[in-house]
Amino acid sequence: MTKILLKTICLLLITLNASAQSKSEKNDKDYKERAIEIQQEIWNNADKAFDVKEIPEKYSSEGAVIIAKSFEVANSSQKKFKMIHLWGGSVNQYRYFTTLRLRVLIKDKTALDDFSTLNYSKIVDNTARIRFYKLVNTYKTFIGARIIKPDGKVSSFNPEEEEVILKNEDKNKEGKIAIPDLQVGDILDYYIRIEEVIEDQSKVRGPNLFFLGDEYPILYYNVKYNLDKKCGADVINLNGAKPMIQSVNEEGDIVLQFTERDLQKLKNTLWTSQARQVPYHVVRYGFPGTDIIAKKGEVKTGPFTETYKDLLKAAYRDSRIVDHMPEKALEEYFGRSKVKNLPPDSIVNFLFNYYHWYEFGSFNTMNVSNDRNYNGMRYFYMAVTFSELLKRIYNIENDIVIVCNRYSGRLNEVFGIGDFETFVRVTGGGKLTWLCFNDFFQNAGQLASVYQGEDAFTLTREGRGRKHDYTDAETPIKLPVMKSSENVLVEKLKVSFGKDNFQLINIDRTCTQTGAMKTSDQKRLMLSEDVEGGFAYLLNKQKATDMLAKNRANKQQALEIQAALDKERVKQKDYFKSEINDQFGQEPKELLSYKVVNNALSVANPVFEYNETFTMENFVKKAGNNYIFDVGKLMGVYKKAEEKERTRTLDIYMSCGRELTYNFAITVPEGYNLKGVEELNKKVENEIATFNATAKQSENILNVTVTRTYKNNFEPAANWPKLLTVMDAAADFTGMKVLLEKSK
Amino acid sequence: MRKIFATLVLSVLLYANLLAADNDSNVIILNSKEFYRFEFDKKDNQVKVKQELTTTYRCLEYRTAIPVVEFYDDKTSIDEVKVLVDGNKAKYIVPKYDYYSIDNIFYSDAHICYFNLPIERKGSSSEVYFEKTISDPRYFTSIYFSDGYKVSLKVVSINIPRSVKVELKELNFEGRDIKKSSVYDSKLDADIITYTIRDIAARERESHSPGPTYTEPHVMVLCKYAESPVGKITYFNTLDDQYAWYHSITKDLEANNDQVNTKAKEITAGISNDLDKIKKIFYWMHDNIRYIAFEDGIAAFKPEKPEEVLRKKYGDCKGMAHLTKGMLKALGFDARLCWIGTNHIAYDYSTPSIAVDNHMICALIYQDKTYFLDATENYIGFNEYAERIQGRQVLIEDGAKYIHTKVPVTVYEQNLNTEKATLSIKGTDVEGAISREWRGEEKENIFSQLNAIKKEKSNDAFIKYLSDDDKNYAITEFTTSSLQDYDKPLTVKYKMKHSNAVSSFGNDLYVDIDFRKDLGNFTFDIKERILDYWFSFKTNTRQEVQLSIPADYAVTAMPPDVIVKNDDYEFSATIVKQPGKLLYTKSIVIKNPRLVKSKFEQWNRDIEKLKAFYNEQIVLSKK
Repeated sequence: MTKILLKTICLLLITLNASAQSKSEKNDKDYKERAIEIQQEIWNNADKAFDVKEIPEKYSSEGAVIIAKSFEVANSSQKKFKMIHLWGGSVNQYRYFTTLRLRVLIKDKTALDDFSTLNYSKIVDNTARIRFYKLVNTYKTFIGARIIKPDGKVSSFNPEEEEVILKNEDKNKEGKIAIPDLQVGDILDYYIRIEEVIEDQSKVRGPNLFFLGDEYPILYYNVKYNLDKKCGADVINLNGAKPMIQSVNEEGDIVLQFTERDLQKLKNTLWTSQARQVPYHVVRYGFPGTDIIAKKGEVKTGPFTETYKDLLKAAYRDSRIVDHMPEKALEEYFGRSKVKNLPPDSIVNFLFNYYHWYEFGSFNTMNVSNDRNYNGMRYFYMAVTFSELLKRIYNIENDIVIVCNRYSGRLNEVFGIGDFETFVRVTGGGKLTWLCFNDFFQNAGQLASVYQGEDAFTLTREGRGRKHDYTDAETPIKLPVMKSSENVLVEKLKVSFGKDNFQLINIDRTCTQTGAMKTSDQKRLMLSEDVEGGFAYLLNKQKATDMLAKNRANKQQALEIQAALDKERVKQKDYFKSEINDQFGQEPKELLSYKVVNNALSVANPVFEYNETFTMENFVKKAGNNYIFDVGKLMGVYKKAEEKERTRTLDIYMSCGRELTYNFAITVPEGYNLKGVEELNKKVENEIATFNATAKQSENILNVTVTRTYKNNFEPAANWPKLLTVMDAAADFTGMKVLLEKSK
Repeated sequence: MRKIFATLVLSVLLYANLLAADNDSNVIILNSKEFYRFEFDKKDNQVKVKQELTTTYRCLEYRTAIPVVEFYDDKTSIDEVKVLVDGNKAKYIVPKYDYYSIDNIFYSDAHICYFNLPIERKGSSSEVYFEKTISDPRYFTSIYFSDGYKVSLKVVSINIPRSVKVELKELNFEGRDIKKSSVYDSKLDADIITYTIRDIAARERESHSPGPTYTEPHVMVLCKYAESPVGKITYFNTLDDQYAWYHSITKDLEANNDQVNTKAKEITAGISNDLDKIKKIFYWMHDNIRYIAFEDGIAAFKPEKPEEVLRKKYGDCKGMAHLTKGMLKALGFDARLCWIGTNHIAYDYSTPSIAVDNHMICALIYQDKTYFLDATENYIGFNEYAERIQGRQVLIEDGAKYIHTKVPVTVYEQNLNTEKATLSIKGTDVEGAISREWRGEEKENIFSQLNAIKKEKSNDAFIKYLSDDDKNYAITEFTTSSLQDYDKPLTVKYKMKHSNAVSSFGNDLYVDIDFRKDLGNFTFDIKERILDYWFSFKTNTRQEVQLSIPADYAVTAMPPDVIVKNDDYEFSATIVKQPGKLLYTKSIVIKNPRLVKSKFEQWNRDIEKLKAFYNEQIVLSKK
């Protein structure tokens, strides 16, 4: 009996193995046949743009020119009868074919490197099998390429012969190809076709973004969607991109298309908001049941601002506070009896800090680096719960503000709910109006710079009941822009010359920052332990590590976390050194001391301040018996705009209007007189920016004050020359010197 | 080459561990036991090497999780992995196996087995056990004693049956607590050599440092031969054996192909001079064949056929060497393949091993002189050699024999970088004409950088480099020699205007004579830097500036001359007064590109002298 069983099992195993082998061979054969079909289909494509061999003279100096680029999507769905468990039933089978084809003239070695290799997932089979039930989910990639030599000869190759397989599992094959016979001067014409088959699950596809520009010029750019008539598509064209052409083919399928010719390459330009300045299209599509606006067989052209605003409103309507810890914390802090009589600002400020403390989190793991300072906050969730808390529990009138970040699309160009960000505006008295949750370092009452000047919607909660709705204002509000005087950097540098070595200067530098000028340094210089501790202090709570240590069960863990935090604290010196290096273009010779004087987490004390003392070389040059001091370098590295940057057509998006002041108090060494002080005085002023440097010697101290002001966060391109005059003056100042002349 | 792979695997392994460790003093290797056993596999008629590697990690300060990475490839299998966390089997840790992508290698057979290993609390330990088999002892080249983490105790036992002849060469043991013992196991008829290593510091990763074969304590394993039941199997008993093995792989690849012959003739059409033909082929390779590294099993030792490299227009060092050879042979020259280890490797052919070499080039024997052509050095001139191969031992194929010689060591003069300027003062600006010239590796360096930049930006980038991106340093009338001709020195000429280069106070002008200040801030942090510093190549920087003095001014102060001279480097900066002008001459020569740490202090003092010169101005006073 055992023998028979063994034989049967062996036979079964052999049969299964043979079956698996033949199936694998069949898959390979199918793949090869399909690859040939696709190759013929694409190379026989009648689009003449892919036959072009010459490029316009104006692009002769480019490293590469994209002669033609096309992106095509075709999809379909059909019902299929399948065995589901032991019953028969039908499932939807969705097919998506995506094809990218590119024809590029390669003119330098950089472009040759860029285009010479291709990595791809050749086959991915995520088909799910549950007993007798199988849901197909496969993904295959087919590639092809040919090279057109300068003499017109066409060189092609078989990708399967050239590829190396990085992963060779039955259900997951990854390949890589170095394109053979490709040289500078050649035209490379290649395609990537991805064919997906998915059963019984259809998700929204996209959004696909098509910027009308690339790092190389594009002579012809065609995007075409051929979508099943049961499918729907949402589209939008922005920043001057012409609308896509919509039509219906003979099968009743949706056709969406745009064609562009002669697109210039995109350039890196200082102070831009690309999402608002570069023309582009966005497309997403899907079958019924997916998360798109268009219905079956429909194309909807955005913006969808109102639709998503309503969706957000509906989601907010269903939202409820479940955590009552903030209220308890407030009562503990002020005393239960006093809460009723607290002014709104006290409540708002405390709760705002609580939300930040809570969201910043404690230290339950050894993840203690200051990377945490860069985390975002869950503004959708924060805004709605904060708004509810203020209104329902404390009867403080407020709105939820829906806005778009200055560096994303505009409010009237919304394509997806992710284009929105939300925060709270308090309207029920008090000074703390704006409560933003975009990062941890916004003070209560501070409107984040990325929202300033933007249009915004408001949602006002109706009533104080748990069941609630929101009223939305009919017209958007315009968010204010902070004055430059509210975004201030002041650097005070006390400078003295080394006693034994004049060429080594001692600097005592104190920086104070307000408004939008402080968050960058707060994030880079503060330790996460100090941020957490700072928030805890504002709430009269214990630091996370102290709380952990109190818990006997966690005492060991607390000690270890503290050890990790102590180790992290050692790195703070490097953070300060790095900041000095960025500022002055060189590391300090020695960093003698450094500290954050005020963390600015409190609205009552919102000025971020840090101090450091260090020594620097290369500021003083010997000149006979005298010394020349590069006083202008104390302002830090400031580079002049290049010639090609001096004209611009793009409007100017700066982070904020701002005032930067540098005070240098330089001790003149005994036995030396100063020369060249007068030349330090300079003033350049126009209606949008100023530069002013003043210098005066008082006894043995040379006092220099330099201010640079940019009044606005946005300027039209026409104002660029005015900004340049101030920027040039600042750059020139960094080259200023004074002479320390030996007294005779 | 396969050997680049062997070395690479080692280096990526080091890198992976170092990456994991990041000088993490929180984790140590408390205990590591490595057991290696040579055994004869009757089935394959081959000696195999079994490895059992047990590593116990401990955290000293706080709980953590560390990435554990073990490499394997076509010749090495991982047979078993066990993980213990705090003494308990951790079945929930499932190792992943994947292709390992290595920078600059298009494809290799390197794979990794990896997982995250938790160490649950301060003072607790986690243990990892790997069992591996190397199927060919030629590929078992070394045992390293250090790791990305500090090692408290490591015991390495090597079981060598007396039927297998293995030599162990100990390297970089000095100053380390390493004890060796050897016992004979009569039952196994094997010697068991045991190294007990204590307190080995975590490896450092520093830029421009020697490779690990120079710095890390390790044993080089040289498997020479085995007396097997079916007779003697010779591995690398001598260099002859190593060459014979190489030759067995390459002998049938004789480069003689119509396409290659035709192409070679097409490239050199119209050229009659032999050396010009050779150069033409060499530079054609630079321009037309791109380097893509393949390290795949035996293919890592087997050059691609020349016609294939020609068809693909890419190849690894072996393929490029082979095509160079093929084309030169097509023109009737005596060209041959060469095996060589770059200076990244401390070894030479006195220890036959695949770990000795990692590169292949082409040798040309012409009129009794041997020239070495490295087609992967994209912009180097003919008969110029990159630092990485200079002085290195090389095996030149010679039928069944070989020629064992060395690549010539080039003196620093090869890498000339000169600047000649004729300048005058206009107000507070300095203006004038400048010519610059680069040769050897300096030239190669400039060409490499220019070609790494998009064509439309390369001119701007060149000017930015020359002006040190100083917007006050305007360059006009900029011309260069051919940027396609690597045979000649690269030269540029331009006019410059350096605005506000002169400071004017009262009746005096203050002039900064040296705009570039080469090496001015190049000092070592002696407390931080652990390893020697290796410059990329020898340098020979020379600057001559003639500065006209305005007629109504006289020179009243100048920085004193600086002259530093020793066996490793020479710095000199001098200013000489001549009628109506000053002549500034600077020379910076790195003769020995390997600066040992013990000389850092002296180097820093010498750089301070240079810096003091740079930070002193010439004073011109009104007459």
